[in-house]
Amino acid sequence: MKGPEYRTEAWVQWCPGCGNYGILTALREAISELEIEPKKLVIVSGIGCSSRIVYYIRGSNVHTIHGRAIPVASGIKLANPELTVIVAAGDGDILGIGAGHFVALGRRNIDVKVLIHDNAVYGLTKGQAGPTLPSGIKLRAMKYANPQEALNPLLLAFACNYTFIARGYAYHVKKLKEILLEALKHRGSAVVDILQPCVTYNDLMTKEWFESKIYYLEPNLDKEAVLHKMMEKERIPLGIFFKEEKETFDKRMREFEVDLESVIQKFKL
Amino acid sequence: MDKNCERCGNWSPHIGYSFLGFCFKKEDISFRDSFCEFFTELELEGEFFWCEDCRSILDFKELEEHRKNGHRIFKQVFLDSDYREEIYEG
Amino acid sequence: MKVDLSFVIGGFQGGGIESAGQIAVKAFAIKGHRVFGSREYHSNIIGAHSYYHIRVGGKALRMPLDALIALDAESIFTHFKNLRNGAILVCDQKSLEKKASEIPSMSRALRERIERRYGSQKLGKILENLEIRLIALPMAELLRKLSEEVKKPMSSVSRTLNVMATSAGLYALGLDVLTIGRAIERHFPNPELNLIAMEMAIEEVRDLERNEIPDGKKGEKIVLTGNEAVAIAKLYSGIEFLSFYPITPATDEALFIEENRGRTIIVQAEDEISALGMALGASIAGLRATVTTSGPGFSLMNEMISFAVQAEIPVVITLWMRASPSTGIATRTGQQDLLHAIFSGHGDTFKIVIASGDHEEAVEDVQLSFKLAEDFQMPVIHLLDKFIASSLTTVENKFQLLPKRKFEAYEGYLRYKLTEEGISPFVPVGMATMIVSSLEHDEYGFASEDPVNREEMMLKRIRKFKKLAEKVSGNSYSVYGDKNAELTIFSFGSTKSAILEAIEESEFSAKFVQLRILSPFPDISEEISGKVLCIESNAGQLSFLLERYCNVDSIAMKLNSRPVYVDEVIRAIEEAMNGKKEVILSEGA
Repeated sequence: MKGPEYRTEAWVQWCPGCGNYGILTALREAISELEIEPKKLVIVSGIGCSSRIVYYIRGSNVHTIHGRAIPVASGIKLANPELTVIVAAGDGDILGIGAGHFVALGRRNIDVKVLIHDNAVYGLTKGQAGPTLPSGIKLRAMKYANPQEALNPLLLAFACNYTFIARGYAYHVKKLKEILLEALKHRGSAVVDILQPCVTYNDLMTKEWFESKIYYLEPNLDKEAVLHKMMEKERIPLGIFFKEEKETFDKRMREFEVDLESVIQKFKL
Repeated sequence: MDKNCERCGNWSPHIGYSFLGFCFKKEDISFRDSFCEFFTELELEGEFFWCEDCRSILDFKELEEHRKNGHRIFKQVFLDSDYREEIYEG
Repeated sequence: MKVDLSFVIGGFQGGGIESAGQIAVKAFAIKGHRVFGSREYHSNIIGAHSYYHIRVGGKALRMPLDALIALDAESIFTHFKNLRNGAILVCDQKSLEKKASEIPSMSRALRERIERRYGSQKLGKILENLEIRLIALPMAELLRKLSEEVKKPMSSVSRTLNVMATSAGLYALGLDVLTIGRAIERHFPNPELNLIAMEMAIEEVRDLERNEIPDGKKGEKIVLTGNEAVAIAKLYSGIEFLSFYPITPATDEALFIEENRGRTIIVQAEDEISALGMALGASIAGLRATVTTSGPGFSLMNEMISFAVQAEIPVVITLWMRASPSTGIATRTGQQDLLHAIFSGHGDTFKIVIASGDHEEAVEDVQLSFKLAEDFQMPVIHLLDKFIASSLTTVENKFQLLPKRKFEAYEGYLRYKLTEEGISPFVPVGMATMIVSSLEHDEYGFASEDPVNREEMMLKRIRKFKKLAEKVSGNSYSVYGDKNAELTIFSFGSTKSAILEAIEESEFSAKFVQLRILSPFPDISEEISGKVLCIESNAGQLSFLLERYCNVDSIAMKLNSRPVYVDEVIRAIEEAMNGKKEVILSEGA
């Protein structure tokens, strides 16, 4: 079950040069290497350009509504723990409207991998500022400079107790694939913030801009150093920042047998 | 008799039943008009108090006004620990 | 001799009203009588007035009251105007010393009404104007006596005050000591102290002239609240996933399921959007899933409902209506979410809405909801209300098991396969490749903007809904009373019991059409005879729907967030027959 098995007949609608092509390829390679059966692969997306990915990878996928991929994915994973459940959506979807659910997933440590297609804009609705666009920046399609400050997805994930936190770059497909492999192998809530250019609307954070700033983390940094790296602004570190094994949500709920008759018994007179 | 529980520093009135209250010295409920050898004067010191007439908490600044109006003031009010069985919130 | 009683047990929240009410209900149930207890409570933690209104011999609330058991003065001020001549009033002697102005927790509106009528007299003086049988117990003395007798600390003894007052009251109403004792034993794990308290209190009223209550129908009874009945019905229906956000009055149902859950997955969500989202996810993966909520939470669920319709996902949403709009009065009742439920979710969102009239219907409707949700792959909204949620009553054992579904995938499986009936075979994710989509999609699930495909998918969903309407057409409503009555009453939900009793007693010939399934809305035009009266606890939502089929001559609206009483329905029938267009029902304290 290699590459072609996961292709679908859908026409890929992304603009040429879009970072999503890199993410799509890296994800397909990672899934393929793990030999995940298509019907056991569940990609859950929200709304936006990146959310269209569910049509381009053969799986048992779900295209939900804006900001709400995480709850639906959580329900699926809890219902059937054998499935590989991946959330793929944009930064606006996951960190804007969906921020509440992003926080909750970290707290629950459900084994769902969240891939943030992070281009700092709302592409499909024509280029408004996204949650990861710093304030004071005016991009091509914006009327005024952005009045809202960017949030830090990695620190947010850390504060919410995600047990796997990584950042990648869409056009370093091989390195991204390695990161995704690790995320897929991890047992617990995982987030990979994947930086990508939006060739149509983000004229600041271009391929050249990213590639002049990114570098890869040394392995085995201690927690103190990792937090510093998460906060770094002048350059952009990539790689796996944080990983730990912890009890997942389903393990925190004990099951027991219940005799329904005895339940009613308590109310009989 | 003005050395009853009602005037004692160890005592707090029950929130619902006016004739009962809780004695912190004996760690038990007693009647308002009871009395015993552990009586000590009630001193209203601190940040917050309980006004029985208004059935609410007063802060330090409101104390004088309620006292002037003859309200019965205590250091705190007593709640039965089982009350939470009855609770329904919004 | 038919036993028919209506009485109130009132006190401050935290003073044992819950126990007192339960003991009273259980006592009459043990004696073999039909009993219904409605709990009214305030939306705060402690201290405000709360009460149980109990009806013996029927399932609806009625005035006037045969008795009032008052644990504090505020209860008396609140309810005394509803006492009939000769009614019993059990209270603490000390309560009679109070004036209305001395009760800060009483609402200003109530205090002003009392002072306007009675000035600033003490309660004892005010009661002298009434023809009632006053039983003023010396609570402090009883407590002292009890404490000396059992040699236990006052703190354990003082907790029996509610039982003392209630026992005296139940005895005065005609129950025997044995029955009251049995009820106390059933209620408390360690009843010894309370049994002694009961005997002491009954000693005080030993010589009272009273009509002994005869035995009713003996046999095992189940006594449940609506929350418990629905929770147990869901467990019997084999739910596999429940998600919720804490909200009154739905929380108790969820907590009950959690306590008895077996293998059901239960998640307390971060908000209602997530709660429904997770349930849909579980349902997509093949589990029998449900959420429970109230009005404000349901508002948040709207977008997810639209998703469930477009993506054809089965789910049961239990909606416990409460006084609205917005936060409204969280702990009081209403029927104000009818239109919202039917028209929830943007777009042509066809869904099923079922409204239960009482506890037994609620149990049946839980199972019906899951069957319909799964057969037709759409959201089902089960409408209930706070009144049903918190009422404690004898319920018949109608709980039945619902078998699990079996799924069969096939080669080339199409999630949204076009069929004659509009229903595509359902296979969960994990068993076949597919795309479940919130976008308009083709048969596999790929997003599609093609106009022909779009039309076909719209027609598919419309067809499915028509098939559903056919399937439920025999069970959408019930008709009670004379077919050719002069007045046709329409209503839905928990007004049922009050209306049934009212049409029996009314001097006018009236029949009652109880709507049970409100979406698809049935054609009720054949059921109309004479004038039409619509009764509901909202500002005219059912009436709005009825206007498509008939002229609504009168509407009776209950807007004060209390349940509907038999007497006010009798009055409404009279006013409707006399041509009054709008009647406002205002009973309830």
